[in-house]
Amino acid sequence: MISITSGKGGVGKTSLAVNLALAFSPEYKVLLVDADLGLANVDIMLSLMPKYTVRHVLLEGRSIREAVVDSGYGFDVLPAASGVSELAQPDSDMKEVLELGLRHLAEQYDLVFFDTGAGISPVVLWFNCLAQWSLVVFTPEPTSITDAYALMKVLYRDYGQKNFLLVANQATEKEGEQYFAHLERVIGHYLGLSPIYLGAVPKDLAVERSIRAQRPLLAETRESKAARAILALAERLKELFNLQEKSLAV
Amino acid sequence: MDIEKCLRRVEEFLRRHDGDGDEVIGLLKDLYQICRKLYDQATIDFLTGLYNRRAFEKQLELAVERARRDRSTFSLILLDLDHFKRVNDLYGHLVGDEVLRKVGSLIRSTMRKVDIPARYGGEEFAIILPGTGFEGALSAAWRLKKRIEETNFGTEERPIHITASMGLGTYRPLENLSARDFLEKVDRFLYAAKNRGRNVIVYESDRTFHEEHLEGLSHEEKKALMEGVRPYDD
Repeated sequence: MISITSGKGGVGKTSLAVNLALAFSPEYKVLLVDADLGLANVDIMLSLMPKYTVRHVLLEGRSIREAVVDSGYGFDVLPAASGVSELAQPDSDMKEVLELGLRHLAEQYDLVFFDTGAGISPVVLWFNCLAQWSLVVFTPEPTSITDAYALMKVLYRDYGQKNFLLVANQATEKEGEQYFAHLERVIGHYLGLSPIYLGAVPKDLAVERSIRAQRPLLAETRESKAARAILALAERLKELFNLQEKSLAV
Repeated sequence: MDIEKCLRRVEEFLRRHDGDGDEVIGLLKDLYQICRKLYDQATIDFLTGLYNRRAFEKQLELAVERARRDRSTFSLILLDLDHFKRVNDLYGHLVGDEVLRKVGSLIRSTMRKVDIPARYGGEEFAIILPGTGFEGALSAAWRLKKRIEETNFGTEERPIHITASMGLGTYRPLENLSARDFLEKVDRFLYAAKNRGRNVIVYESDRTFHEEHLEGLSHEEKKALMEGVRPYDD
């Protein structure tokens, strides 16, 4: 399980999550969980009209399996609810139901992505702790860098999360490397951790077009700059996790 | 059996049957009051009115259990009064006890209602801060330390000023420490604070927190972050 998170909003988390899920499909069986439970985005981005959402699971006792839908692009989605404030801060019981359900569901998938909300609210932190890895998205802007660092700091210092993957969004390759090298230094110095860099996704008009068309970029084109970069991120993740599996096997 | 739960159940029962005039109910009421008194004596420190060590350890275990289940966090402050023996030696044990009592009420009035303060040993106090991460706990510890420093624990004619050393730890659910291991960890911080010349807050094995008040990212961290975000120059 990998959570896709950022601290700051509007850095392209959901778009990246959707396209990463697509990049792994159908080779891998992927579930994308809209972890912004009370303010759904994933279904909008994919133009889905889910009959049941996580709301029905947590507030009306439906099974989590009933809420899972086919995205139409080769991976599955667990949709969140729109504008349900009770879900913005799920209580202890809801979290327990959700955790059990997600762990149960995860058994049937090779990869599960959580697309978390912005900010560092308890539910964002909770999803990051539930995932083994936190994939932190930042853009080359001071506020985004600071928020990404602050999120990692809280996750490590208050919760013990040490597994961070970093992605520079809306950044050239050079910018991404420069900013990562810098974040890596600060993180190493103040937190004593070494995050892993996955790469950069450049600005690309094709991304905006795909968002307006409510179709994932990778479903439109695999040739644009951003699409190629996202496919490269997926390759990097595959390497990383195959490598880990091998090292575990040894 | 959980005594507290049982007492609450009886209390609830008595409330519902209040004024029944039944002899058995009357007897049960007496019995309940005796049990409550005995239970308080067993869990409350008589001098300060805070939880005693045994009750504290139980509360800590509950906090750890909750944090593990919910993947939530909480913090623990261990506080030891510096050179307290001197107070006893100079002014006698009665004055020493009076100081401890005042420290107890100072802790209670400084901390939030949800926090769980306890007298952990002779001049040692412990405070559990539920749902509180490192930053929040550090500001609370800092506030408390400052108030202790500013308070006159004696009289106008014979002022007594003391300081406190503190160990501060935040329970990280992903580390999955037992209550005992976590307590030992924070205790090591307190020990380090004592070794560093007292009147300090120690929160990581090798970092002392002294004068600066941290809130979120430190000035240094922000500066370090900003240094690298100048536009890329080709």
